[in-house]
Amino acid sequence: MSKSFSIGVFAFTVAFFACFFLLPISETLRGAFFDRDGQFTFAYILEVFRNPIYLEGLRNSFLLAILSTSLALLLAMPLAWISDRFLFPGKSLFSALILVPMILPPFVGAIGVRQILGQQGALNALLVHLGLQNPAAPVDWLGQGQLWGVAAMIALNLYPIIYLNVVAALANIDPAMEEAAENLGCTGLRKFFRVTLPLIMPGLFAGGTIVFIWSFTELGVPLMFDFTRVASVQVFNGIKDIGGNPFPYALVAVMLASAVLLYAASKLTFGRSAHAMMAKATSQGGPRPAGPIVGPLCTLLFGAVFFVAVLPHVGVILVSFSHDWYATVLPPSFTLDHFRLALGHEMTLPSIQNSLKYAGLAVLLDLFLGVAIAYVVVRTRLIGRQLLDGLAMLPLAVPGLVLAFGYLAMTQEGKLFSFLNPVQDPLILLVIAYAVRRLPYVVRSAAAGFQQTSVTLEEAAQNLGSPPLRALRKVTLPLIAANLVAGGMLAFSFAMLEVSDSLLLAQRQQDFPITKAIYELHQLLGEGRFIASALGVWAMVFLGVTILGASLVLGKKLGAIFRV
Amino acid sequence: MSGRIFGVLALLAVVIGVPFALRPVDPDKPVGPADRLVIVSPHNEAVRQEFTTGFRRQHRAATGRDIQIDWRVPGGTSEIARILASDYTAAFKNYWTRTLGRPWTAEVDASFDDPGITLGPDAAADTPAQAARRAFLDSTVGIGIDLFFGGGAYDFIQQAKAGRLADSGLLTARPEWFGDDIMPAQLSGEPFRDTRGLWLGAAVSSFGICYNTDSLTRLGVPSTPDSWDDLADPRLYRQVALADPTKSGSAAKAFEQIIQQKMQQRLTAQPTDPDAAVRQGWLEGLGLIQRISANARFFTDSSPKVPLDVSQGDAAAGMCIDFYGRFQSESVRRPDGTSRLNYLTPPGGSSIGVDPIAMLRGAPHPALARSFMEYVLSPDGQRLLNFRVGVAGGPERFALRRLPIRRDFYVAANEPFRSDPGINPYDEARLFTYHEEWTGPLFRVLGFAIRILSIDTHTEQSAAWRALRTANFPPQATARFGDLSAFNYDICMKEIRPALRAADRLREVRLAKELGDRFRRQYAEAASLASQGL
Repeated sequence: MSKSFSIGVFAFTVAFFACFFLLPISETLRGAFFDRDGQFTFAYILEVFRNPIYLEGLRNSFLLAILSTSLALLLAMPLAWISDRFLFPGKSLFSALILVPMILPPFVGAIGVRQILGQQGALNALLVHLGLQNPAAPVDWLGQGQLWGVAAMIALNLYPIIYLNVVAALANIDPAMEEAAENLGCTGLRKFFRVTLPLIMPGLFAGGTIVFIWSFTELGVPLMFDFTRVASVQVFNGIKDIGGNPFPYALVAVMLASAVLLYAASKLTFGRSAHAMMAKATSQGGPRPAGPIVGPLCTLLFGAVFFVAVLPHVGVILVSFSHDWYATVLPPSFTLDHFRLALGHEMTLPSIQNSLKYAGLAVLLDLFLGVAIAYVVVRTRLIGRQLLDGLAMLPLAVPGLVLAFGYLAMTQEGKLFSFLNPVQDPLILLVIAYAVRRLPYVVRSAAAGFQQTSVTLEEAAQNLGSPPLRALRKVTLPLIAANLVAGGMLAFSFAMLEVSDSLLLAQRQQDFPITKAIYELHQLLGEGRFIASALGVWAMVFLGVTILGASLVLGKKLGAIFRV
Repeated sequence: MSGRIFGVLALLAVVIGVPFALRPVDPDKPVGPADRLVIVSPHNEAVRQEFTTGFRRQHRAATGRDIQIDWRVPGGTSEIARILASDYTAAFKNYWTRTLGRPWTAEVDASFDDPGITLGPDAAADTPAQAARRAFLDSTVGIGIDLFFGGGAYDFIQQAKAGRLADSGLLTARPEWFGDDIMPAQLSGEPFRDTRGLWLGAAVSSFGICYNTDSLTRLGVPSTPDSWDDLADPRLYRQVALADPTKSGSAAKAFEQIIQQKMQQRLTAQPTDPDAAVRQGWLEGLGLIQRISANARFFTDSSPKVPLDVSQGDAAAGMCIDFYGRFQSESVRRPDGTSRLNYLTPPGGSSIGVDPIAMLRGAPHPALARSFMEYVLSPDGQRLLNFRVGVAGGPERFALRRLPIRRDFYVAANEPFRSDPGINPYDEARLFTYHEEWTGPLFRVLGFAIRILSIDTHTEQSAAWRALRTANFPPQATARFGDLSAFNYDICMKEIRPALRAADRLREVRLAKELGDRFRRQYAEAASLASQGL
């Protein structure tokens, strides 16, 4: 691609980031760096490091990120490898189902978890029923071993991100590489660690860093376990403090900087060794039948992971059908009423339409920006491209509330972006907000694709007379389609389930997306949690069918994506 | 292949089709041009919907015109407070720089909505800060929103002080409503409206205790709680759900009442020395809050969370808003009439607060705004708050179960139609009198103290409390745990309060660290003493 075009892409993406990421953050974080007289100060930032409570919060966040990422890797890697290598009973179903855990709707997800793990929850009821627990002393699953509990919950929620990226990376491996290794006597685990693992490193890095930064800043799960000494919860509590102190913003600034450093460090450690492939997996590659013993074992492994990971979802589904569910293994009676109320509520249909609109447009924007950024980062030698790469990961590390308040501030009357004021019409701002927050998934997937696909293919096309853009469109993009679909799917699912921006920016009922509709129903007294669960179930089914559809339809079409 | 695609598409069509098929038809919805009213509110969907329907009908009957209410729902009161502050700053900046053509400085930014700036009679003698404040208070700077509806009196008092509220004129237009017999100006010491009419109470509520009888039995707590002291029972370790006083003004108010009750008890015991009673009551109240919070499972700003978690057995007892507690109790009632969740307002332990409505400065539709306020406070509007669904004058879809502010609502004739017959907040209020002068100045200090004593230091506090429990509360360790000398009344008044009010916010941050360190140490020492049985 011509240098001037690359510079143009670079300039556009940097400008976009400056306007819709750095500007809103600076609007909110200004308080952390300026005192009352408008003088610049580092005093607040320094206080973060002087305060042992906040240091411990940061330390716990870091620990949580390491634990969650390790657990998610332990879950996702074997599954991805099995899925890439073997055919086993129920594979096409499980390959899609295994992604379901990541579509846990907010608010009601917590209801599901409490319903299963609560002191009077289903698990304890089952243990009592089996005679394994004294009903007078139920185990407080959510209250004990909080760090591990939170890490396990996050890992069960996020392993699909690693799984998707690794499966896409495995699909990109040229089987000739592994065959060559085998011919040279390198087999088994040795082959995996010496050949396969280095080859899929870009995908692994892509998934791993997202999970790492996500769990570093995760808010919902620690709140579910009432685990308060983590930085994200401390920020959340501070921001909502009616005293209005600038201190939490200093903590946000420190979290952001930590996330950048952690990302840079992991990139230096793991992200550098990319091996591009000349050939796409076309020849003898592809899964082989697993045999009568290994096959069912594979199915069992997929089934077991799926079963544990969807327990919260099962909780939500059962709540949505129940009248009251307390201290029993299953709800004592069932009803469809909540669905009638939820789906028939006047908020519901418009909110579904809004969500589809916001999330759909946001993914398109993400694909465009993501490919552009990944291209600049991987394919060019422009100075500052690493900065762009880091910038593109940052949205994961910024608490949703901070960015959302920033968007509100920058679109007020009299400001540069007042024409985007969400109260007039939040469409553009919400699409941008959703896109910015979900951009990392697409950038990472696309970058992994670019890294694994040799630039020589594109150069060959150019040598044969194809203009650079056309070469990109006709040669490279089809080759990395699996990565783009994976990233796009993640972006779409998480955009549909977006909370902070939706709550704050969609202020009028006609603009509510589905998450805000769930939140509003959740606030209703009495039956609120059942109705909200019903709408949550609808959202899960919708996203489930979308993912299932995408993996079935595209799986065939693209040949390699999930190898189903 | 195509069959699969078709199958998936068909499935997707069904999933999207269901909400289409079930979508409601609202015959009342205005179709043509309509008047418009913009309301920002933390009220839930049920309240919004019932008041939209009710007011739409009333407006149509009175004027023959349709009305569209544009509800702005950015979250809870803390989000609304931030949005109001930030939007008014932007609007005033616009007015100051463009209309008045004056330069925007950090001083103007900090002063125009600062209630601490007093104005003299002569504008010519104004300092720059006073000039900004005067310009704001004399202006009709607005943010395109007419009304702020719902929240606690605390939130509205803050807005009124900042100058963001405007008088709707209702107070003078309907003098017959605003007497002691219908809507008193205050009740048992709590203001029910702003004296200038900047905000008016619309419904009343109080904080109380909800508890799960199953859990209490399981934990070996023999009697049901009837006072705040019962929440400090060590058998409730990690089983108490609390409202977060740092995130919600009404929750902070509830903790303040615990302190006031202790002061009152002290005063009854030693009526001759009220000063000493207030000082001792402060420490005793704070001590009680410290012990209750040592039992805490969480502090939340989500009002439904506490009664919900308690009813599900995830906590055994909690502090919650009265109507949430009653409602949840009702919704898990068994066929035999008993409920595992019960609610109680501790006698003499809680005052009645209001849930106000106010017109915002620069409201774009002031006449409509006033007419909506009038509707909310009228007998028709008040009936929506507590009548059952379907009865004449009641709500259409949701029982709101709020307690109306109008005293004339609580009459025998209304009882058969009410969702909560028999409950009269005006009776409950007699048991408690709020003394503003005792704790009012320390309102923010109290939230800060709870944050230091318990929220920030909860890990250490909880560990110490467990050690004390295990060792059966040995005297030395217990005394160390409960040493509140750092928060005695005089220190709070003379040192902590000024630090929290200082322009230099670093003072608060440093004080928080210093005190936080102290209490973490103190809790660790208490735990260590307890483990030695001392």
